[in-house]
Amino acid sequence: MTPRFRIGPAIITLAAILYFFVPLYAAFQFSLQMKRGELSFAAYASVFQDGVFVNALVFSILASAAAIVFGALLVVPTAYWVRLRLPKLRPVVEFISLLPLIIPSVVLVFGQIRMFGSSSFLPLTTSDWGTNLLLVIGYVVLSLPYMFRAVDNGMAAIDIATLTEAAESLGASRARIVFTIIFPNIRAAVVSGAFLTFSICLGEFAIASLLNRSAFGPYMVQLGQDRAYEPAALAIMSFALTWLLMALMQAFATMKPGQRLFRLTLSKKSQA
Amino acid sequence: MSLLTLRTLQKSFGATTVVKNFDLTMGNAEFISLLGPSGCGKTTVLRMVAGFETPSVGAIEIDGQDVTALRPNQRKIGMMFQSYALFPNLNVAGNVAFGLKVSGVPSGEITRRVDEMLAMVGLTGFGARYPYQLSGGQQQRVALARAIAPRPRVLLLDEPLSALDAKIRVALRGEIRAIQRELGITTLFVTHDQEEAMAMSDRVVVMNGGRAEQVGTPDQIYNRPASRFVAEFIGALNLLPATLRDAASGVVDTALGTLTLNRVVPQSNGAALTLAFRPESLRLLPEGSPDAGQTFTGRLVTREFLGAIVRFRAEIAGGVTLGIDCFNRTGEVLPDVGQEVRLGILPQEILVLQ
Repeated sequence: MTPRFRIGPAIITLAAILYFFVPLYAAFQFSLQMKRGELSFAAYASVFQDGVFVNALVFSILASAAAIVFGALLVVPTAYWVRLRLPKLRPVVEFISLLPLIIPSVVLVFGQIRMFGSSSFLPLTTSDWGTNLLLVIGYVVLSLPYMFRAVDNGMAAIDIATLTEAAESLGASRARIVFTIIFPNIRAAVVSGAFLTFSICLGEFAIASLLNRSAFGPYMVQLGQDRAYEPAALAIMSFALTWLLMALMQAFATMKPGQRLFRLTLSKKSQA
Repeated sequence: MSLLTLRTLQKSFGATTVVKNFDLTMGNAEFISLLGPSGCGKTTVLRMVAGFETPSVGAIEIDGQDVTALRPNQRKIGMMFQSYALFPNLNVAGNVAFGLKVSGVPSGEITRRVDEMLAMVGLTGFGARYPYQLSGGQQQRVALARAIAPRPRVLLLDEPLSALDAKIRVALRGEIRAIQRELGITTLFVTHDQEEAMAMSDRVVVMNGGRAEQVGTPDQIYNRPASRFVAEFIGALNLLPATLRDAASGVVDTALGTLTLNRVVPQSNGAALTLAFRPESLRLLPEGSPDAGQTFTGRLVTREFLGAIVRFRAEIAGGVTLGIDCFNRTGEVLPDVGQEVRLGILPQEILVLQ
């Protein structure tokens, strides 16, 4: 039986598609018009030839990766312990994890500068590594709502209490349980939290700018002020990157233990 | 020497006491079941032995060592759970090897032991599979292999068969018992299924309201229940109110008439009693057969065919209804609903409850 065609939903779907894709297409077309009278990828080439772009991108990737590692090491044991032993505290922890969505990052970074500025007891901002550390910590805070939610949902999907008891009865310590049982079983959740963290931190402007870091966010803003076609090319590229990350998130989320991403895609093709 | 000793265990959650004055001594290689309705405290006792709950009062000794204050991972116990609790990220071999790795067994020895355990539970060649690729019965076998691989001092089974199909449940309970006997592991088993408890155990602890109502062999529990609760909880039972007429020879008056139990009833004459007997103790007496024990007549009102057994209910004099179980033997013609029948019971099969 073929489903009946409905005009109302079709119009809404079409409007939504246009709303989303028309500006994207316009930006894409604009990014191709750097050379007068022809369509070319000159704007993209120009972006990649800029040494500042590469440096900023590498710096931001490293800072995001550090934020992911710190964030996971902070959130996973916390969420585990709250679920296992302090379930009454869960709403409180959840509320705290949502604070970065309410409090602007400008407030956060000013707090950091006041707390760890040159005249403070711990003058982190006076050194490069100290400022980088503040940036990473800021990123960890910014990504808390996403990381905590992803990890907490991942834990809801497995019976952590019984798995913990099973591992304990076999002689395992708490640390061993977290790293050999809990972490691998919520890997998909941690990975999706990591990708969200990555996409937030990569374009982050306020903290990086006020800590005077040559990160990707400030670079994009600067480029937007100075150039016309390159920002459009950058926007298209960051969209593509986000989609790639979402596809990877999906692939990790549906992967079963013992399967590898590549084998999974190959076997699907051979079935089709 | 006893291997596991529980001394006056007590456990309270807030104002509720779920385990009260619980004592138990288990011999080496003994298999004991904790049996009772839900909420009777049986799982709490098991969890205290495992170390997941701390007793409010009392002590737990394993092999002469007081383990009451030890953490679960220091107790050298093995445990099986109702939900299998296999580690989803590890394959079968990885699950079985987990406890061995934790205790630092060399890798060659681990491989050997994993193979040995998988062979024991009939899963040779399954090492590379993951839990999600196995049936419930297979997963529980892996859980058994994982629990016994590190050679625990005590094996704790928390309703491990409850989530399985009836057929697999019966097969697996036989296998668990066989492996337990072969390895000689002291085993404490929690179940609400009396058939399971009877079939597997050396001794059964019937629990009610946090207390042990009776500790005994399956035979003792079934045939000589120590309390009214045990009698009613285990198996089906016909109950008949009675008044004691002569305590010395056990003569009682009932709605069915006067019955003689041929034994001393430790009550004073005139006391109100309840007589109890199993449905299988009642016999349908064929026409013209001589009376054996107490007999009475009744009319069959229902008949249930259960395969090996046919279960009747019969209305007797004075509004009493009794259940009767008969074996379904080939060639035997059993009466139909509405027929008048003669029933007999031997006095020694009648229990006196207070």
